[in-house]
Amino acid sequence: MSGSEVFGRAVPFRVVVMFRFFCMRNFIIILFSAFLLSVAVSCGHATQDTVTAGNNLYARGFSLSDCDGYKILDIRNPWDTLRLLHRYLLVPKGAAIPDSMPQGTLLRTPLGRVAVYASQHCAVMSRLGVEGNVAGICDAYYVADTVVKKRLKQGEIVDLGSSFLPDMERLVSLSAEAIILSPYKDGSYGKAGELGIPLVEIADYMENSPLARAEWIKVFGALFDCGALADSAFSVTCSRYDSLAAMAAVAVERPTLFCELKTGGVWYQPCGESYMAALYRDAGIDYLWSDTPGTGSLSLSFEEVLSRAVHADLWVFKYADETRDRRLSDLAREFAPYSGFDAFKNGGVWGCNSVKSPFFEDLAVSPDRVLHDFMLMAHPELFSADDTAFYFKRLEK
Amino acid sequence: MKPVGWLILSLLLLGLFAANLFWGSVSVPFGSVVDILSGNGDAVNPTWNFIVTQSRIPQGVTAMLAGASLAVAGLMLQTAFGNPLAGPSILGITSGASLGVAVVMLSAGSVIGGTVAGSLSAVAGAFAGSIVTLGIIILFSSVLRSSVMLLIVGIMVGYVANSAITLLNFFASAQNVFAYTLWGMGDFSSVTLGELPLFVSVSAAGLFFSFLLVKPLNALLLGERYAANLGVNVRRTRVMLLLCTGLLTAIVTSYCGPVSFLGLAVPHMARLAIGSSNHNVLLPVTVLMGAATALLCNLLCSLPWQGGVIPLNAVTPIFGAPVIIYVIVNRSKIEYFN
Repeated sequence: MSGSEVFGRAVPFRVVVMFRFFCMRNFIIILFSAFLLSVAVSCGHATQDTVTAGNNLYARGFSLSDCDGYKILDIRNPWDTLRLLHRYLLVPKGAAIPDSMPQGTLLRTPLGRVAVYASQHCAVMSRLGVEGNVAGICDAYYVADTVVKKRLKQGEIVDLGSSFLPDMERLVSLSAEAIILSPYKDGSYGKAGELGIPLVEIADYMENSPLARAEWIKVFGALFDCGALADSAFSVTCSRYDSLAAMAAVAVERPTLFCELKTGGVWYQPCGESYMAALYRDAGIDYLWSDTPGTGSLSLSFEEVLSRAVHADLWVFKYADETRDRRLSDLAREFAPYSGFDAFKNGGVWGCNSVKSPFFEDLAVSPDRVLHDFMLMAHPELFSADDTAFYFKRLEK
Repeated sequence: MKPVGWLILSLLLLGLFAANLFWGSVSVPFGSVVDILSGNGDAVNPTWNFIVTQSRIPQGVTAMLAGASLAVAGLMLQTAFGNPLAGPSILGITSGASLGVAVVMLSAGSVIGGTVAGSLSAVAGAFAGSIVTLGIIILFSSVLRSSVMLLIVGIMVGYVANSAITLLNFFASAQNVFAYTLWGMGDFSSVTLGELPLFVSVSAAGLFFSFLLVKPLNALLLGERYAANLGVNVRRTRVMLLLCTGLLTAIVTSYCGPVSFLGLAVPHMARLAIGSSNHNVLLPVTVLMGAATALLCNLLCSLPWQGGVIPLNAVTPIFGAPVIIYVIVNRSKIEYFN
């Protein structure tokens, strides 16, 4: 068992800290001894055994450990947190492969050309300035990054088609050193998994807090050998996010909010422990379903949403429309009972046209900007009059 | 059917309609609903008033008419094609509606994320898709003499429509695919109070039209040749039946999505209840039973103890599938088949 396994997955760092306060001293001594032993075993001939797994500030889904001549990147299984989803051994290019390494997928770093399945991961690479390494991308429709879009148009980046069924011939022709993708529960990667190209499973979307997800930039930092830049970028994000959240925490008023639109007969609202609910909470917003357990979505009827949110101050939703931004009159025409909400009557409806703004891409890497938008809606008094939202617009009549 | 049978059926329908107004995913006190329905809505909680008037009444009326329309469409098609497994989806009209909605919803940037069902463009797309498919079927009906051949053409048209839908799905964004998938699960809540007059008029016109076809339908029970000998213009009747069923299916599918099993199973439930295939009785019983079944399904989709709503098409097979299995297993014993 490696040290990262102890601190990264089975026993997270925060839990260990709590143990120090609540458990018997002997138990702590045993645990600490086990930790030291396991680090020594996993890193073989380590000269400076620095296990960085416990250094994650927020993320629980990965751990990075520095060993002698290589790094261990462990991705925890988000659906069975006691198990490892994938272990990667990152060995610098040109360096000899150490003799005694644990079992895992070998990656020679920094990675060169890579195929990327999700545009969000492309955005993380852009943040680190390594977007030039993207050789192919799936679901090109979602790409909002202008540089990547331009390279796609010029044919420098290959459009691999749908991420559910990528074009295998194009994928093979890329000669990519790795395929970066999002894992799904019990999902298989089809032929892509049999090409002999390492699959890097980035489970960032399974994190439940904005900063935890943003911390996955460190994984990209390790993969592309720009760890310092990744740490710095994450620190900047944390600092901005925390200072905004601190402003929101002292706000006197906490406006109420509900979100999204009715789809067919169902109106989905994120559960109280979800990623979006965390963003609303940090923005000083009283999210109306914050008391519900779970990290997924609630399937509600129109009348359930209406009965709880009829007097809500804010209503936010995302939509995709290449032709124009939505207006209140569009909402009323699509489903007349929408006009029954106070937010509709009082101009408290905000929409994000996800085709025209990189909302979903930035959500992964710059949650501070998304938080800024929610705070601007909820607490405009905290911002200057000329401050504008990055992604959302108040719906006009 | 005896008068007591009609009475029971009518009371059942009224009871289920009332249940749809009084019960839902939000608990509204009985007295408040009575106040709202008796015109004293201003005295009760405005949210409850809004829920009952803007959501439950249109939803109840929609469920009632949609159930009746689909059941009647299924009955007419089963008689016209002499096939107990014929239903509104068999002629490809539902697939045509689905294709129309798919074109509107899955073409990038055309639809607001999420609220597709209920939006005018999706309804228009579904209606256009149904009518175009219906036109193709009617065109073939003037060429083909055999009803079985026409049935096969309908199924083929459905396959072609589904092929286009698959293609559109493949290239659409995940958000739009999700919205389209939800539309395909069926829903009676998308007809608003403002849209209700249009829905009621078209479906009521279709139902009225179907009652005018009772005589030729009874004649067709004996087979096309006997019907022709009885003076029925079989080809013209077939076109009229197609127009009527097409209109009923198109209006329901446009607003409610492809609702499964009601059109297929309710005519059998009606036949089993009255033990006859005489359309003079069978048609009105099918209307009542279709409306009652749809209201019951709608009620089960949004009962308060469920903690949310479940899709309509997750409920309709619970009633539909056992009936079909029963009919198939006991086909030799069931009177109306013999």
